[in-house]
Amino acid sequence: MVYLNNCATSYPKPISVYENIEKYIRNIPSDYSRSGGINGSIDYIAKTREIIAEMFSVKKAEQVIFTSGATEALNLVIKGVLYKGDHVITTETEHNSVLRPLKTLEQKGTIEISIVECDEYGFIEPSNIINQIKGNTRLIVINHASNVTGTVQNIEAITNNLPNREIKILLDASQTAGNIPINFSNLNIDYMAFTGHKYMYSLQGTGCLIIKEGNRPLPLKTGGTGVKSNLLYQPEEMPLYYEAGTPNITGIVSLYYGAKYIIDSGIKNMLRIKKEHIKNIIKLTQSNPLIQPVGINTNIEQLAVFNFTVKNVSVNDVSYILENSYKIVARSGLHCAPLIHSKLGTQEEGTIRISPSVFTTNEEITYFCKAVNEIANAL
Amino acid sequence: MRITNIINIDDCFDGSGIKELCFDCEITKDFIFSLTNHGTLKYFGDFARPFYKLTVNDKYYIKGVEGNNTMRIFLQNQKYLNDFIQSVIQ
Ligand SMILES: Cc1ncc(COP(=O)(O)O)c(C=O)c1O
Repeated sequence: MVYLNNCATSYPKPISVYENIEKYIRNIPSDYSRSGGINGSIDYIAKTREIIAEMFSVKKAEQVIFTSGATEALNLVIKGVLYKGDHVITTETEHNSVLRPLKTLEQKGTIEISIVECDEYGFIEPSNIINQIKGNTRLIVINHASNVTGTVQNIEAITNNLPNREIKILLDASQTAGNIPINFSNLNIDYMAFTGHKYMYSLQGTGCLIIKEGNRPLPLKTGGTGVKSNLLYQPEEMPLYYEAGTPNITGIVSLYYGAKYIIDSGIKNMLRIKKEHIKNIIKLTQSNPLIQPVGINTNIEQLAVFNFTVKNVSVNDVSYILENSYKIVARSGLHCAPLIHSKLGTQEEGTIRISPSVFTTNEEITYFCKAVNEIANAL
Repeated sequence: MRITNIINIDDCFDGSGIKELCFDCEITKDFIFSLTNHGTLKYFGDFARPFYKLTVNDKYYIKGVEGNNTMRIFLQNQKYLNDFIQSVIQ
């Protein structure tokens, strides 16, 4: 199989991720953060918090909260900071993990929402966000890079032009974490949510919320922490306040080795390899007028993604043939981001999205291009 | 040939009418061409493995790849699943 669906979930993972997960689950469970810690065992919870803090230039490791994914991290902030009458600004590029919690709060009459339009590449003009700010604006939720077009937003142009810092910024870095360098402190944002199973090379069901010092959303859940068990209320210190319940330590181990792999390999080098694949796809398909790229603009910052449709053919048929006939896994549809498609002209069915990884080979890309040319010409 | 399992397939929209039909044997070229008795068949033999699509007016369409043990049916209405099983499979 040729796997070109890394925007959804990365595959394969680095060998160190597989090996260390296995090592971890075969050993006696031991958890320093839960008053355990067998002599010589590794304190993965602490180590992973530290490596994530290092990777994203976060001042203190305790600002890193482990979650079950971006969805939980985003919900934590959205449900933990908004009160009746608050106004939220978000964008057409958001994933349903942002749109659905916001729309649900709007439906209940708790908040009002302004959804800022993007252009045909999925770029949001920063001033269009600033122009929506009102007296009751409390939160801006923005996707760092669209999971459809991969267009990266200019976050500093938003954070540097806020009229006051009572307005909090929640960044959905699900597509950018592990994919492009991110300096949390320099971005001047309040919250950053990301998932582990995409470009962080970890397991599904992992993720993080990074919280800027001084912010204290209400926790989404309360419960056991393994320490301070005599208290009948959730301990209020970071990160315990947000981490009730037995943590997904196997997932955290995978997050550690995923992050370590990225740091050791060099994130810019990895991105260069992925982008080279996209350049090749463009080169090998551009002479076919039936293959219609969507949302691609080489003059702006975009991640390594190639979206396309085939003239007069259902995107579902194309991805079905790729998978069943050619054994190439690619995703078609709306990619859980329903609003952006009106700007891409693909609201009917969505797109076919190709997202290579650093492990994708040139031969795989050539094979994909040959397959898609054959499909487009025949159907 | 016998259907061994029917799996619901979700897609981005309402996928309630999409089912993966699993068979106890591979879908052969002969079987695919016998489908012309039931609707309009398109067959693409030049792909790495041949792809086919059968459209049965306003009721359903099916698509699949020769040699697979499965095919996918897209029903306009759930009741047409039985139509398909009775008229095509039995
Ligand atoms: C931009 C974006 N945000 C949020 C998510 C949700 O991630 P998860 O389902 O892992 O919580 C995804 C994953 O598809 C995504 O691409």
